[in-house]
Amino acid sequence: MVRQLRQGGRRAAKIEGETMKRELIEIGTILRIENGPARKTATATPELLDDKVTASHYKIGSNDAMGSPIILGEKMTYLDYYGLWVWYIYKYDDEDCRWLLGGVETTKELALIAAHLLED
Amino acid sequence: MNLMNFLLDLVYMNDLLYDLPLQEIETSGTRLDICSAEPATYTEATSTYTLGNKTGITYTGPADRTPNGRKTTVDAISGGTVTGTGTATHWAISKPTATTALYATKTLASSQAVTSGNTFTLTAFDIGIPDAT
Repeated sequence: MVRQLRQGGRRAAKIEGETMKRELIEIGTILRIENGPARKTATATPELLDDKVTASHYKIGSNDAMGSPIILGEKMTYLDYYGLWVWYIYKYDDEDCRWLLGGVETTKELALIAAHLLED
Repeated sequence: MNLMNFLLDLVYMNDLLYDLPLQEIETSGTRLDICSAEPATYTEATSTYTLGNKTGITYTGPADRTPNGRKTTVDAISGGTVTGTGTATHWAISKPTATTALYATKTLASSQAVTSGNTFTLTAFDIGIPDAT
């Protein structure tokens, strides 16, 4: 059987809208940085919803990345699996008992700096 | 060298090569979370956005996918633990061991309100790799 692997982004092999992901760095016990696709917000257009631009599970009527229905002409949030990945910074919240987003940076070095600033 | 970039230039790929990532998911992707948003990372899948989880999930496959490609099937899940209250809109499968990783995520077939302390179930669903179009 002839198969051809489609390009799914710089660091991700596309698997029908899902992705393989990696690299998590822990700083002490309350800080983490981890890379992943950038979370973006834009107006839902046929061009944006093209499977070559955004993952195939972003379709009119289905959920966007925040769980809201995608409506043509309205704002939607999506994970940009095909673009450059970013570094998310998380800080553990003792009251909420979960890791909360503390920032986003474009490089690991900037994320490490930003994470250490959150230590204080 | 990034192996994936090399593979992109190939015209032919044996099924075994398609199956490798699926087999990795089957072997190590043993945790499923239901989430209130689409997680971008393992941390978001298992903490920031999780509303519940089930560990020790099992698979059937890999097998041919319709209309093309290869797939693995996540077996039906019962007895998942709901740990938060909210609306679950996505699922996420992760590798929960020392070298943690988020392996796959997608929208649920339908959003579901959940309450902490309850349990959740999911019907079987596929994770697939399509052929090129």
